[in-house]
Amino acid sequence: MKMSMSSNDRAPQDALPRYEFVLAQELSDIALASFPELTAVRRAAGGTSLFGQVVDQSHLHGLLSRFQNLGIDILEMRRLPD
Amino acid sequence: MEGVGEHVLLTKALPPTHPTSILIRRRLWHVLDKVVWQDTTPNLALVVAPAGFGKTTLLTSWLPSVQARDRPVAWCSLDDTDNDSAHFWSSVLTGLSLAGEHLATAFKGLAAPHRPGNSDFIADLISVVSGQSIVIVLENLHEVTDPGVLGDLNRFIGHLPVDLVLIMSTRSDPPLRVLQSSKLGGGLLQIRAAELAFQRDEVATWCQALSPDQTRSIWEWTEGWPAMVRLMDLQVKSGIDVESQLANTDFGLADHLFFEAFRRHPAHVQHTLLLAAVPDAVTIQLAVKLSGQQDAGQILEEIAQESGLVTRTGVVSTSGVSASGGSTSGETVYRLHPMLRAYLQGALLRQDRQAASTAHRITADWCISAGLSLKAVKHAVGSDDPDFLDDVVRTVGPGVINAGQAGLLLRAMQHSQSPDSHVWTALIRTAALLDVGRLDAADIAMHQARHLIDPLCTPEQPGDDRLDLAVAFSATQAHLHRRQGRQAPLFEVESATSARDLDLQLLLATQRGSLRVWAGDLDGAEQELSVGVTTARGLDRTAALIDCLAYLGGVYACRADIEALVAVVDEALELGQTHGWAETPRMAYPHALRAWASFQMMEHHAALSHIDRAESLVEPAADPIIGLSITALAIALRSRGPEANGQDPARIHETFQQLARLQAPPAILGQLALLDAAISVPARRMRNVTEAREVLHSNFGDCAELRLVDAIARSAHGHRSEARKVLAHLLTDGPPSLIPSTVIEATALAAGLAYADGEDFAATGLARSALAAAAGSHCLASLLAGGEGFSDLLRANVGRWGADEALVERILNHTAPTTPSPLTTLTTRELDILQELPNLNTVEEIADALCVSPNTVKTHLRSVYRKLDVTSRRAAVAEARRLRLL
Repeated sequence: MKMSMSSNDRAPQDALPRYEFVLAQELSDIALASFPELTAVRRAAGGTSLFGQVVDQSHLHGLLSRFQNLGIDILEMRRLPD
Repeated sequence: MEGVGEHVLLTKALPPTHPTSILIRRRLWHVLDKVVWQDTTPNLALVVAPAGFGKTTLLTSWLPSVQARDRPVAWCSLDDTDNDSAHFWSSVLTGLSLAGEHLATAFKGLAAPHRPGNSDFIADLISVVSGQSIVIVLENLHEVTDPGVLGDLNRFIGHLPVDLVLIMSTRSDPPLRVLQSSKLGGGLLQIRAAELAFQRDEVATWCQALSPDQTRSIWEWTEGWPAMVRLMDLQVKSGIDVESQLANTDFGLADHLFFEAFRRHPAHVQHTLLLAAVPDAVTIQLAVKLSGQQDAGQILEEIAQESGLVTRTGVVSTSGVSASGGSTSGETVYRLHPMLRAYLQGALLRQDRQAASTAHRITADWCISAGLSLKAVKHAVGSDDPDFLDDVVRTVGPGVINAGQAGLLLRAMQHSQSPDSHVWTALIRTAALLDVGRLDAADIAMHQARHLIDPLCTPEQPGDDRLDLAVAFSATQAHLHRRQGRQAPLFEVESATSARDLDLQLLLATQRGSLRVWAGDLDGAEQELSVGVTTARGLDRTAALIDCLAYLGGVYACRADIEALVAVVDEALELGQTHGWAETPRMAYPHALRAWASFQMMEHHAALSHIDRAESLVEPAADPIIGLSITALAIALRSRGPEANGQDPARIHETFQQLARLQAPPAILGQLALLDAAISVPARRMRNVTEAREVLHSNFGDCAELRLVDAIARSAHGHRSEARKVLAHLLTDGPPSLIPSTVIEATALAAGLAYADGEDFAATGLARSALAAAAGSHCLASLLAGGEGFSDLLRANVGRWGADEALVERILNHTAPTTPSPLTTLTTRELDILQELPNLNTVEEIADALCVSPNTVKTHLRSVYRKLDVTSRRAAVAEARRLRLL
């Protein structure tokens, strides 16, 4: 489910910050289906990078708890420069 | 616990039954035992680790040993809805009252507060739980992120009675300041992932059926992560070469193991599991509905037995609750392990988005029939189907708002893909935003609704859905305009017939009733609001009931019917106390009305204490007219006491002018013009009076208040005969008044002036008629509004008032400020101790702070109680606040 904010306080799409999550492992299709708002890229050194826009803090925390629910360890997380 | 579905609370207050086969973890039990049984160890424990580390299993397997030794246990499973103060504390209170038979009644008098920051509630809760030796478990504390709720929990933990034990299980360290200091001071016992992970020998015990090599492989791959040990053990046992699979996959451990576990089930089991993972807890009936499999219950039970990844929560029945299976009339509730559920949800989305949407719709419908309105909205949002969401919001929205849960409704709706693409969704959102006082956001949502309604709305006959919509639309729009202080013409709602749905009817009655009060249609308002009161009582919607009673109080205030005003407003205030609304903005208006009533009845202390409460609770931006009225009343009341200050005339006049720019009710403007004049005239601010006159004239033309302001101004200039002429005209065939008490005020002023002119006969005649009117309406303050003249007249003729003698005595007693206040009778030391009472400090701590012995404190306390005529600390604080000693 894509998260978005209510119309009155929604920021324009291009103004939303982008985040990268670096995972040690690859994700199965099923695990990936839990992150429809993120794009997965396989890393040369192994593991996966997930990119995507994060609407707000509660979205970010929601993503982290989804990772935790699926037992996925996050190696690194960062906000990408605009 | 109004509004919070009772059986939701019951499932939350029951520990899930643990899986049939579990590892008895004596080493961890031993640690937990110390928290409960050893005096030297802290009574606070934190079990913190990621999902799948067996936190809940540890606690549910250990707790029976605590209960067996006669310690009551209160269980409380937290979830997302507990980010609301009323929900959170209701969950805790339910858990506590189920902890033991003798406790069921102990918590009856406590109402979970609807706003965080209610220190009285925390203090009361602490005083009720102390001495009960309860072990409280808060499970899934990571679900709670609301700073207000966490702040209150922090306060509770900070004052945790020593005999109480609090155990928190969570996935992440809770942001509670008190835990940091507890940690440093050794006052917090922690069980973290490293301790929770199976140790090598535990893995060996668990995997008894396997060879040492297989066991070693499981240990190495899982590093003791309990859920993974469990899954891998199952798979190895069923002959799968998990080790080589893992060696050949790039997927993570959990990802792989869950996929394998899922894959090896037959198709119909997979299907059932995928759909049963949609709701956060599933009954057999719902599982059958979702999967279409008649044996869904059996499938869930088998998985519960086999893998432990599905747990059974106690049986819930309508008549009561029993820990596990004691009752046959109830329904079994299954919960999937959060990791399994997350995995299955991903799998369902990947496999069949349409099926996921349908499952959310079925769950939402089931939630509606089970009375779980907010969950229904969440699943409707999850269905990604705006038409369906619109239907659900329209069905449950009005009831949720009436129950005072508008904030939670907005929270449940916030993740909708298309927030306001449908008209009911936009409309209910507007009503909810108005209820929580967010006028700007409500304006935007209303704009959206207006945009959506036009092509749709041509109602044809009663019972037509479009008629409901038209009615709801016009009432909500008019209510928004009223709240913004804009003109909301009554004709907008005039044609409105009643909606079919009772909750919608109630919501609209509240909106329209308040609108009618504002427009001065008092009879219409009374009728509409009385129906609202009856409906709200019938539906048990306390928030709406309080609102209807308060607006009804507004009707009586405008009619200067103080007796009726007190009756409804006192009921509203009482409901606020008993249902957790006491410290919320909802109570600002009732307190303000009560202040006005007390002022009219010459109960000066009570008036001040109510206006203080109103001022501290009001959110001025949420309803500017009520906000400004409270400010004006506060200035007027204080200008009569020791707090009067030179700025009062300027401040009350400015407030009056701000109100005049909004569409305030005529009675409020009329009354405030008189208060403005009463304060401005003695201060010789005659321009204020002229301006107030102009405002009245331009809004209402000629009216009694206008004439009275004239008379007040003239008499202040010493033009008594002119003033008397104006009043005489006013009282014989003058223009209508905006508020009936004006006539009492005018009559009393005329009497006072006649007395000053030495015309005793005319004066006593006028006084008698003023007294008779005041006796009927209880508007005593109106008698004295015109200055000292009237009380001089009463005093000079004591003994000659006949039937009114008692009333005269009451008025004269009140004007002479001779009643000794407790402020003068309490000693300085007693006042010092009184100041300490609202804090949660014990007698010993107070004694420490004041450098005296505890016995001295107790002696002082007894005399404070005696002087305030109370028997408990809580009552002493309340009484002291009432008397403004605190």
